[in-house]
Amino acid sequence: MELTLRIRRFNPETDTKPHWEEYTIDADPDQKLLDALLYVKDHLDGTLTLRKSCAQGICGSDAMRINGQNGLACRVLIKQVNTPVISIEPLYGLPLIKDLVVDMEPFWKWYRAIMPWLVNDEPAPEKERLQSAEQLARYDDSTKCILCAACTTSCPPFWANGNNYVGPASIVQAHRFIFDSRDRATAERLNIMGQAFGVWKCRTVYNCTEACPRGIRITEHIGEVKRAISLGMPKE
Amino acid sequence: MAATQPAVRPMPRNTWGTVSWLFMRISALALIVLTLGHFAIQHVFNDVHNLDLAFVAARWSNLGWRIYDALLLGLGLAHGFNGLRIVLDDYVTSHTWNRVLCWVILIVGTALTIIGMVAIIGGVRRT
Amino acid sequence: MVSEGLRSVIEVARYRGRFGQLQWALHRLSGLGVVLFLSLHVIDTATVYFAPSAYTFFVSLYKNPFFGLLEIGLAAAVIYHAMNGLRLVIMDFWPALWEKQPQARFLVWISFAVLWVPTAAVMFRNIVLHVIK
Repeated sequence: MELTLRIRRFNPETDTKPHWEEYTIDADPDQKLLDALLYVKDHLDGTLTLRKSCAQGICGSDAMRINGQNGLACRVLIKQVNTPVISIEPLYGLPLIKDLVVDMEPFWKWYRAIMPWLVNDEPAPEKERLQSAEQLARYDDSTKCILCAACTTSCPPFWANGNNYVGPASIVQAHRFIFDSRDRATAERLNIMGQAFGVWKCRTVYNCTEACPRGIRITEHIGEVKRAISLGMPKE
Repeated sequence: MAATQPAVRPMPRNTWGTVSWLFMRISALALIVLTLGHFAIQHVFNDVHNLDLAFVAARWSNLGWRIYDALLLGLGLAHGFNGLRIVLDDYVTSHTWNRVLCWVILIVGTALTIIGMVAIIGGVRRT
Repeated sequence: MVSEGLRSVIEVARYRGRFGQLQWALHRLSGLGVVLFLSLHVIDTATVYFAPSAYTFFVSLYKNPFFGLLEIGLAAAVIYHAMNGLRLVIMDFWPALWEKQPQARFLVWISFAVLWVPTAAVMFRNIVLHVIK
């Protein structure tokens, strides 16, 4: 089928601002959008710049805005998008470097700020620290995060004030540890989440949950953290 | 792995975040009843065209209505102006302007509440 | 800077968020509208004590059919904000209901219609009756 990709291009060496360019290709509807982009890069315009690695929805490298909504290019099939022209832009809310590549450093900065490591200084058991299936279920969903930044860059409060908000992804990562029964730094984590740059910046817009390629119930987990701070941790 | 010293500075607890979040929700529940009731009384069960000083005086002769209106006033302004502060937090990123406008919101909100409360307590003054 | 905030508002229009984004934007707009109205309303009602002749003036102003129509719009803002707000409060405090998010959104619109349509009809009828007189 004939497909036109309308891509937002920007070359920092020559352009003052981004502009649209169109590429018409013959595409297979069952293919991924990433395949179409790579075809353009390989055959039509080698200067097209994008990030990709595993190309199967695990590494989180190729998050971008597809027809106005964030997603992973390697997880979206052309037939799912189902429009003759597909517009592709870089994620909004992180500094643009070139074409579809954004600077992820502000995202990593917020990730580091939430202490993304298990804290448990009790003497190590002989084998594993045991956990029941119910205990795992409390945070299992938030372990699925691949740090692709699709959620954080779909969040209007983050767009407005990214310097003062951790963003949904960091809250999900914090949730993963807060509700992990093996972790012992709950009070400290909740204190971080309760700061002005933490969960209280969330306006329950819900874009994050819709953008997440892993189907994580982000808004729900942010709500769980808000309740844990205000009303105390739920009983196990 | 040995004991890990957290790489994050200890921060003072931010209770205002919690207070604001809880307040907005609790006041919201009260306001749903108070506001929809007020609207129904003024616009549906009565015709707003019949509104005049006598109408207000008649309602306020009942202490219950004055208390109702006082609650509506206090909670409504607090909920609304806190909401303004929240919107401000989203869009005004400059720290100085944020603080200044936050104070403006607080002062204007308090002033309106006082003006309203004085009127409710004072009642209708016949010219 | 304010420009970042302004740019983000434009982005809200460009981003194809679905119902969540729309409901949030309407919640914010209706809230701002209501709080603006409320500020003016507190002043105009307080005149019953501070300057009763001014109150009579304000009330005669509001009997104008143009204001009557604005009030119907105000009713929409208040009722929408209340119903969507109720959804948010329920979702925040009863986490088990999170799975029912799509149904909850639908209920917001239904309850809005149930409350607003009769109210608007009565208010409109009053305006018309008054204009005819």
